[in-house]
Amino acid sequence: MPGHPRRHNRICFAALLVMMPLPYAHAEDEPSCLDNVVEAGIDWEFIAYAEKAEIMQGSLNPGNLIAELPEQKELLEVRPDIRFECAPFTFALSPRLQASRQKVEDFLHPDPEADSDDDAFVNAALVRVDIGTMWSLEASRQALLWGPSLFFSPSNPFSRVNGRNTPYEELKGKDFAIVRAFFGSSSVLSFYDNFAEGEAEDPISDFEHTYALTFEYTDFAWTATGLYSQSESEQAFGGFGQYTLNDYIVLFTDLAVSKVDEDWLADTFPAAVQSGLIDMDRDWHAGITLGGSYSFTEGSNVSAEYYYNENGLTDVQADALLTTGQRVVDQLESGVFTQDFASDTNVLGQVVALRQAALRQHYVAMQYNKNDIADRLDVVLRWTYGAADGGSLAVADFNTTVGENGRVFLTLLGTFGDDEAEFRQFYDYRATLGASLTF
Amino acid sequence: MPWATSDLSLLRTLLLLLTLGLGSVEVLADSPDAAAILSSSDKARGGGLPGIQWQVNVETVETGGGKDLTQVMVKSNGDDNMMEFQAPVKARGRKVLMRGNNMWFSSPTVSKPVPISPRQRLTGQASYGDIAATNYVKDYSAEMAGNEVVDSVPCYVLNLTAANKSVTYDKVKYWVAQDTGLGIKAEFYTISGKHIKTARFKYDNRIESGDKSIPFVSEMQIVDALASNTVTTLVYSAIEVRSLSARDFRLN
Repeated sequence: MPGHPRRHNRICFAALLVMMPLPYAHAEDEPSCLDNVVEAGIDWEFIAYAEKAEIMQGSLNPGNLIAELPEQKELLEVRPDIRFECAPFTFALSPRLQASRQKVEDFLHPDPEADSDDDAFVNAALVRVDIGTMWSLEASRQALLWGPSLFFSPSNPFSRVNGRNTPYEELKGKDFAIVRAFFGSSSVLSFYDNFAEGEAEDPISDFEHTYALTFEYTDFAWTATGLYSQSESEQAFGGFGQYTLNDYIVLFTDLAVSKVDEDWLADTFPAAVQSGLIDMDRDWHAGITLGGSYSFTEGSNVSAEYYYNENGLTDVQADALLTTGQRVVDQLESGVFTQDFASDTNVLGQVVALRQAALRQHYVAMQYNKNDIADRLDVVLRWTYGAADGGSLAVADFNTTVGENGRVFLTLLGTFGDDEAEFRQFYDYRATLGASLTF
Repeated sequence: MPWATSDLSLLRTLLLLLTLGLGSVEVLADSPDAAAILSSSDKARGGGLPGIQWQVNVETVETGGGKDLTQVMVKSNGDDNMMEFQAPVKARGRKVLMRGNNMWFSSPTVSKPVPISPRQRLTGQASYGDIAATNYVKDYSAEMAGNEVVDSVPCYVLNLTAANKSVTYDKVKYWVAQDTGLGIKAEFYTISGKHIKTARFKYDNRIESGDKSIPFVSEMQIVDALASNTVTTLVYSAIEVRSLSARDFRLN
């Protein structure tokens, strides 16, 4: 074993060192950053997977024209993660090289050829400087997730979903400037400025500059964070926290009350607003997640979470949306199109895009996970129940090591319930089989 | 002048009191404060320092001859412990953060840190509690339980009882060398009194504490009390005493 932390591979250091500034290096008699290397290394991951899905073409995704989900996808990706820390500076870079092929079948392309694509991009990067023990300043590209909730984070203005149904895919990074002030060992004040969309492009609406101010306090058995966030379209107050009730139970919450700018809504989602499927008469909407997790003696965990989403559709609104979608389905099937076809399709697309995280108001989610079964298998079983319509979505993720450097994974997703249920609108099932090598 | 009987009685009484008094002083000297012994021994295992960072190589040799190697980078400051797994490859990038009774687990394969319960401290042959810095003087109430010789070293024997529910083990029997003040053996018990592990310690490292150079733990060997052929050895290296701030105990 090496005597110094994280010196796995030094091969690519030269490249990084050429790119990075060398603080203090100009002053001959002062120590260079390179004299104080705390951590340095590069990890390589080569990952490949193939995905097969049965796409539903129901009321909310007629002819697969709304979501345009692939029924078949293969991807090969190289993921180097470079990290270099020489106090008080930290640098990290995660470039990605990707080759993919996918087949998207929709009403307009019933038997398409597979599309191939390759891409090179930087999904994550970090430049941070620590000033004394109190301050840190950073510029970064990252998928910024926070809070203890497993499925939904209503308080997070940057990403409300946690991306756990596709653990093999990396969430796309956005660009941030972050200032943190540390008060003793218990309190942190942070200011986040999401100034560019980075790799997380939104196909529907334009990028919005988003700010958040958080104050985090950690006590012996609990931790809590309060926050305020603001973008051009929305302002929100919220927070998240967790409490260790005893040796085996942790309780947690994540909540926010938010107000969306009505002019922005009307400009960005005009068809949805005119259809009456987006409320314009309520000022503040609440989103609340309440949950807990229980640890078994042998090391496994079970977690449960309830999510109330006041922004979601009521039963009446959901019926109206499904009726709109059914009109589109009927026209696609009959081949006879009315003048409402385009506007109905627009309404569907805008409502689904606006409420990507959760279309309805009540959800319950449960998760069981156990790592290192027989010293090599990690299992995650997840079930999300749409309490408003009785539909559910189940995910099983199996991950096993092969030799010293290999990993094979299988992720299965299935939906259950009535064909009108939200979860039954997009996927019937999806199976992903993949492997990765890490060095 | 001859001593009067009453004077002799008085003298005998005084001598007796003096003898008892001196004896008492000697008894006190032989019964040092258990908390002071514990505090002294903690320093050599990472407790009571302004901040410490080290690397632990954990090797488990199982009954069937199988071998498991894990490498962990540990940062510790009071109730805060950050553990970052560096090897094997399958575990690289996994992190466990303990802040008091709050615990989180993060891994490159999960999108954000997951809160876990303190029960997870006990997972595995070498628990997170074993890998983290020791702060017995804060976590346990100590009682002297006599003197014994371990490996030819005269030791104080301390019975430790968990001061709160957040600690890794409910009870610990701890042998501390009388000459060096270093903990050299420990037996760990559940609340029901079930013996689960025995550990032995070596101190071949040295660190700077204040203006002194003091011994520091170099090896902890753990024998599973239920499967005595399973031996886990923790080897400590790259030790660095430095001030750590709240910034060092964050997962994102």
